[in-house]
Amino acid sequence: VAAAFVQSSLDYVNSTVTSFVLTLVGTPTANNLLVASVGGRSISGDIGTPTGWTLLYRDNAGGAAHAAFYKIADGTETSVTFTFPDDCEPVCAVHEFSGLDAVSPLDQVNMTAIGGATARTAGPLTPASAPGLAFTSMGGEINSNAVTITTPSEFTALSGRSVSTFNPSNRAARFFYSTTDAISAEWLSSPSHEYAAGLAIFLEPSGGASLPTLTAASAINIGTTTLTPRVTFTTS
Amino acid sequence: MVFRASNIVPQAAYQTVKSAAVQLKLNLQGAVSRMASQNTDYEYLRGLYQVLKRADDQFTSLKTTPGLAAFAQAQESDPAYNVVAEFTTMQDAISGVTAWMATNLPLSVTLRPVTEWGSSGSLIATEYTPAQTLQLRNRLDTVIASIA
Repeated sequence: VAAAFVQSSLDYVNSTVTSFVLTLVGTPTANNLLVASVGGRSISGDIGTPTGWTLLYRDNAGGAAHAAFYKIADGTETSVTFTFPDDCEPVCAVHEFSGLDAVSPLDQVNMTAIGGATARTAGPLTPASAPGLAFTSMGGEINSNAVTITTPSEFTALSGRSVSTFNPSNRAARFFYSTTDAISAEWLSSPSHEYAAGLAIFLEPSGGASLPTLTAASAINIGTTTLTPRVTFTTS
Repeated sequence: MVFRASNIVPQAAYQTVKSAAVQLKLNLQGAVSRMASQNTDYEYLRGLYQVLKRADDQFTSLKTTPGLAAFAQAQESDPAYNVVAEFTTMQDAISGVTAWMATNLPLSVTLRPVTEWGSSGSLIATEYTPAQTLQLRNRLDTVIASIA
């Protein structure tokens, strides 16, 4: 598997806004995959697709909204502007991945719509090829009861937020799959709240047998500064 | 004097350049493999061109980072390593491909008939066989070879 997680950026506001600028923690690498997930509370329409991004899935109902988008980084992005149809409270996140197809990375998507539940499952989806990245996210509106969100099994949690009452929820997770077995993502909420769950499959470049690997080497010293570990990219 | 917080440091620049080079190489290897085994349409060719341009633009923006050359020599434990020369080799190879595409890809193409516009996909029906993409693949191999 060549795909790897690089970094996440997450931010939110507790007041209502019609647009929100998320500043990325680091400028992405050109041709890496960026995936954004957004959760919105007190919203009455769809979350807008940021300029230059492509919609993966979205839904809104009863004041709750969730959406996910993707783009191939050009390496100049320092922030992303999200827009909303009316005043709402958003939680926005952008996740960067390397090692994926930069020409046509998206294989397929699936979403389970907004609903009050203790479980929402996206998928199953059967990847067209392996290896690759399965990205899943959930989002919606937490009202009077604080909730505990459980990340789908097999997935590794990314940055997200679902911390208190009367707030939006938005969490994401990744799974670097190595076979073309069907993949599902079940997000659990205890107790229930209004949320949706989505799943997207991204492919590695064809002929991905030549995989880059990272190897750590010993530290080196420059003057009084020790830089460790040194990272070397090699291909095989 | 003020604290200079907004300029990129050699360590971050070099790390990004390495990552971009690996990402480019991985994708070009995939492209060569794909074009050798199936027909290639204009949507894919445009995507491939964009991959090359994105990488080239990021290399251009980072290669003049102050201190990058010395930092690269230290990181590679090689005082003779000339990162500027390697940049030039890599970007020349990229330019060789994009220039070749600009010159040689026919723009007199066949559009899909209107009756097929209901489905998604490229509006251009023209595709190239693996044999027809050989020269392009050879040039992509030059870029791949410039990244170790």
